[in-house]
Amino acid sequence: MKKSSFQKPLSKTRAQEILNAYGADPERWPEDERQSLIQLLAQSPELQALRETGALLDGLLDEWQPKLSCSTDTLISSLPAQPRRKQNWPDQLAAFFFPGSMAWRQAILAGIPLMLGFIWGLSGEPPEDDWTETEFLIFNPPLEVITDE
Amino acid sequence: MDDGALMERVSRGDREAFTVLVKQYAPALERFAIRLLFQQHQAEEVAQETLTRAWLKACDYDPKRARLSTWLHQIAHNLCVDILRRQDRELPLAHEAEGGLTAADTAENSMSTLESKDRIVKAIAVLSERHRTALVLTYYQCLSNREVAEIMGVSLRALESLLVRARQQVKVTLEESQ
Repeated sequence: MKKSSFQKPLSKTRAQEILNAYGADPERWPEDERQSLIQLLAQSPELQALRETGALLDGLLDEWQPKLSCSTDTLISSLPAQPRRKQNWPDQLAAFFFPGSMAWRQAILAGIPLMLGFIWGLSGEPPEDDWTETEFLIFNPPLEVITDE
Repeated sequence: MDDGALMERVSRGDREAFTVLVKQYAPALERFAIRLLFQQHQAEEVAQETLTRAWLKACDYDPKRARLSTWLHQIAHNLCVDILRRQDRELPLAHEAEGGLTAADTAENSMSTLESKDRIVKAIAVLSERHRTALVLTYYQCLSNREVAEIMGVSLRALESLLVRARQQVKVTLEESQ
């Protein structure tokens, strides 16, 4: 997540709310208010005292670190079968016609419109209209058209 | 490996990727569940069930919507809430918590530390489920306030109220037990 370089100034009330809610460790403070609170703390002995009170409670909370069983081997060895992934219809169609890896399937699918365009272009008859007269009129307009403008 | 790539591999049935997921997240999930349920065996079950669901529902994970840690904690939280509702009884006392304090614990720790730890566990145990969840997720699980609010389905303001109340109550309980 991109950090914002600008942080709006914090009121003293808001600073007290943050300290009362999150305690003394800046890591737990709201990211978008952290820098402002650090700056405000440097100027306010009252807030520093509140932070110290919070730090005492933080210290006590830190003492509870439960022991873990860490018995995950059975979990990994006895995993249930995963449900089949849902495929949308283009994927199903591609899998039916072109069994193989996903990358190849996608490349083939992307190439189909290109191939169709190429075939259509080859199979079309050459234009029969004679454009010579139209072209002549565009570059040599009749005199009355020029005078009207 | 980032969250999206890991879960993409898990969704394709890659057991090696799942092992990475388990090693990375199982301890945090178990700790979270112990701190909410106060029962070692239940916490272990919650962690295992959360990871099994992650295996089965890996396709549903969207890295654009949430970090993997948030997604897993959300599943674990729902499981813990279900258990707490099912139990519908008071939480065990602190010395029953996490399977009870063993003789080894006593030998390892000084008496003052043990008492202090015991007191803090009791103080957290008397909190309501909402207050305890807010405190545990924010304080112990190293999640941001936005992530905790998302897991609990509350606004940031509501989360902060829960946290202020939880910390105040823990402080009062600790003072009373001195």
